[in-house]
Amino acid sequence: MELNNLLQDLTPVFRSELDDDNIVLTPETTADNVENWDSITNIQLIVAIEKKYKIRFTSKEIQQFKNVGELAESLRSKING
Amino acid sequence: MLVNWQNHYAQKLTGNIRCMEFLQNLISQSRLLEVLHENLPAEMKSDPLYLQVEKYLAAYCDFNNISAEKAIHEYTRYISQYNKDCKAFAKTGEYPLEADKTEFTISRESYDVVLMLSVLFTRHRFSIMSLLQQYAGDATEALYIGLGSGLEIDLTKNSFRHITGYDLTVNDFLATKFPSASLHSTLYTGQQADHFDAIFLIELLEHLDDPYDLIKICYNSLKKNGRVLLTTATDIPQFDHLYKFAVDHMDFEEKIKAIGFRIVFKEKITHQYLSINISPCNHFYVIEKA
Repeated sequence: MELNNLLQDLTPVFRSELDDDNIVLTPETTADNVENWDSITNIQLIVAIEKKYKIRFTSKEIQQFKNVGELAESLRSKING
Repeated sequence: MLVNWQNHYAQKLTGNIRCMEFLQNLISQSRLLEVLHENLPAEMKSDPLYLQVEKYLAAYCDFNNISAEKAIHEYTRYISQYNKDCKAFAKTGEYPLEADKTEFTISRESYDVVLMLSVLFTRHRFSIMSLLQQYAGDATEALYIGLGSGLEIDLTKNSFRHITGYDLTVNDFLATKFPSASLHSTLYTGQQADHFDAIFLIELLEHLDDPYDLIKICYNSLKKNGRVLLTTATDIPQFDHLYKFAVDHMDFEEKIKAIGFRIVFKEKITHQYLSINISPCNHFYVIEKA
């Protein structure tokens, strides 16, 4: 899956978990740009993404994601195996 | 004799394995708990206090027939609610009770389990329990107000010869666990004057309309040089919190000094899971009747 398609696919997850229907994801999006995205919701978001794509991030990966682009790249590599 | 010691250690080992199994069971069934657990520092998870809390939680759940599934369900539900309340608080500055938006309900037993789980999965609550154990001291008479699961008693029971406890409801588990303690299912209104060496007000004051009323009552209940170990909560919009302590504790300290206490120890405990625009924290105090 291409990065842009993946971001589109991830958008409903972010909107649902962060309770914000106006979220538009870009690779540069970070918790600082999105209201309600705090460290608790971050874990809930990760868990929701893992559930949707049936993949697992490591604890180290979760801590190192600096923006949505890094998360999506990691997700893409797991999906594409 | 050798056989007795072998039995003793075998029983102790079996107990430790059972409680570790309970926690492992929780973690294996909940990805959220697994992530939270993985993010904890290794020294916290290997602390003897951590194992003590695990054991107490497992025993409490066993006694009250609370399954791992139920514990996970209630903890997840609680976190989701807290998260929503944090978001609302960031916008309005009002606690849910203040805003009269308290749709969340939870049974006493489930709430006890949630609070014990938060000791195991969040650093700030573990820090409070650690400070509590560290500063309990050695004395004769201790009073615990707001008993909950009884975890605080368990963590400090070896420091005191006699334990008295008050809560509006007391779980039967506590009577089994602490048979020599005097536990009362009623409000503490100063039933015993000049009697206690230590009084514990842990995670209690934020649930009251006027915490200073209770602190005054405690002053009268203490012996000379007796101590109160207490915590306050700032910007923690939990569904049942009522009193908002200011970030700056100058006013709090002035008020407790006016009652007649001197401050022996204080520590600010910040929360690891911060919400946007709010900085929740607890303060832990040891204050002494001057």
